[in-house]
Amino acid sequence: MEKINTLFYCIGQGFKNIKRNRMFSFTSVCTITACLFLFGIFFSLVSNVRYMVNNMEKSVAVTAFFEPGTTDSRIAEIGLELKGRSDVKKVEYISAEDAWNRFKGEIFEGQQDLVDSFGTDNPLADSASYEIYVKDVTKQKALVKDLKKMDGIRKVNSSDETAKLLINFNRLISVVSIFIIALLMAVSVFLISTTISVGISVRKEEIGIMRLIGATDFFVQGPFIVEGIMIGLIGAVLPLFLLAIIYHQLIQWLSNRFSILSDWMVFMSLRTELSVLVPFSLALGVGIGLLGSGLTVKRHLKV
Amino acid sequence: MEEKEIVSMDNVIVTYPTGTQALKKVNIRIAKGEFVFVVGASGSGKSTFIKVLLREIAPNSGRILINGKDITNLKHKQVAAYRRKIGCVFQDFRLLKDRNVYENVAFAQKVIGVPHKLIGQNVRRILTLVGLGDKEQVLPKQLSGGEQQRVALARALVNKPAMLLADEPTGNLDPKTSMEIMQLLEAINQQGTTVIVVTHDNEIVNQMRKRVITLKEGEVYQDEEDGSYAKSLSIQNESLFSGLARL
Ligand SMILES: Nc1ncnc2c1ncn2[C@@H]1O[C@H](COP(=O)(O)OP(=O)(O)OP(=O)(O)O)[C@@H](O)[C@H]1O
Ligand SMILES: [Mg+2]
Repeated sequence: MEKINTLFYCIGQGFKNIKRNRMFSFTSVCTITACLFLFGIFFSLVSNVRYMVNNMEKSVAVTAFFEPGTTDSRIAEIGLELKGRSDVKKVEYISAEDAWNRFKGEIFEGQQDLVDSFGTDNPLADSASYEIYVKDVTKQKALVKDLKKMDGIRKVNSSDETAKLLINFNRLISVVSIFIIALLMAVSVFLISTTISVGISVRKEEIGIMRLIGATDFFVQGPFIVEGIMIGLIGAVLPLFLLAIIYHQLIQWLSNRFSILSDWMVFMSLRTELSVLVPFSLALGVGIGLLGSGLTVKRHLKV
Repeated sequence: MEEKEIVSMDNVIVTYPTGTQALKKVNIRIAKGEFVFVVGASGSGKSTFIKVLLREIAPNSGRILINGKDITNLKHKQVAAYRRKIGCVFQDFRLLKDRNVYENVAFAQKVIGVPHKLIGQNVRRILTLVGLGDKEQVLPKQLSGGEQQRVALARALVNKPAMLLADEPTGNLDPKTSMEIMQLLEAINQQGTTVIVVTHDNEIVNQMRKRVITLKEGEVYQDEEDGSYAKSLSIQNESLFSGLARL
């Protein structure tokens, strides 16, 4: 019973502290909001790029064409060897006819007379190939290198340039964002710590009286911890709302604007995005608040 | 076993970090329900004596039993629990300035986690006892010194301590108000609470005829039942005179 009464007291008092210490609390909330807002933006960016790359990985393949006159048994042999590789997900044999049919479908769609003009000739007669899907785009380079060394392979086409670009971009963003977020987090922790310090120094007298009456550490420190956590929570909830609104608007706008690219420019739904961001941001906010207030309380309120 | 002594100090030594020895081998026994004055010149160690009893400072050596329990080596956590059994008031009242009379007293109950429902009746009962039943909503600064000390007393008493420590409770009050506060302390004592009062007020000490412990340079100089301030003071003064005479 005592514990519960004390808990309620700490929560109530924590809120009062925030009100009493308005300016500092406000500054702290703003910094955490900025920090977690940036975190949200970077996270959305990185996760979306990764999502696109993943999609691309599914559709992007390495195509290996054979030397003219390569025997069917050699082709089968190459196929087996490729399937045996651990980095290869799928190998598909595209015969010359398949290639031609596909080409006709994609390029000459609706231009039947043009297609007809080729008659029964297959302009892609030597274009039988393997389409090789890799498990991880970053491993594509090694595969291409190996393929080029193989007997009977004439040419290797890999369309991983975009993927590579995106991955590099993602790496850069990750590094930059981790750096900025870490910096902002440190600032947030520092500001919360300052806020709590100010609160403690204003209430030095009161704390002394509490101690004389026999207040436990929990009772003395609780309100300040609650204050820190509340600041962290508010600083986490605000940017989540902001992000949700902005994200929703932005993906709609982008999808409309760049509909030509839309076969690879697919975005994660707001819902999926939030399902990760909400727990992460809340945990970070609470963590920052707890760290900032915890450190300060430990420093100032130990006997 | 029921203890007769509430305070039992053996060879208590307190040395401040500055090197000042504020208490030198102090041996004091105080029975339950006693009323004790502690007097002595400035710097004789009176406040230090109170601080040791409140466990604000731990003695460098010696042993202190309170109600038969050794408080010499209490851990940080145990100190809070110990202090709940002790009430204390000071010369400067130490009230929360931004809270009214009721809240100041209720605060002590909140600190020890008394359920909300019970706090109201406890606080009202104690405020009536100290004669402030009609001032619940008043802020400390709107009260006279004597009234503020009554609030402090109410706060010290509301948790029903076994012992009340008062360090110069009338130091800031005029003689008439001082006497009223002392009479209140006596009334509290008569209800069973052990009361230890540090004071400079010789008139009151002489008038009340209680046990008087005189400290001098950190030692118990004199300890008399039914003592008086004048006697101990005059002895101190005599020694001061003889000291001066020797110069
Ligand atoms: N925190 C401290 N640090 C160092 N020395 C101290 C401290 N507190 C008290 N002293 C010294 O210890 C001695 C006893 O001090 P104490 O406060 O107990 O005296 P006192 O009898 O209460 O005096 P007064 O009547 O003036 O209140 C004094 O010499 C004082 O200077
Ligand atoms: Mg003193």
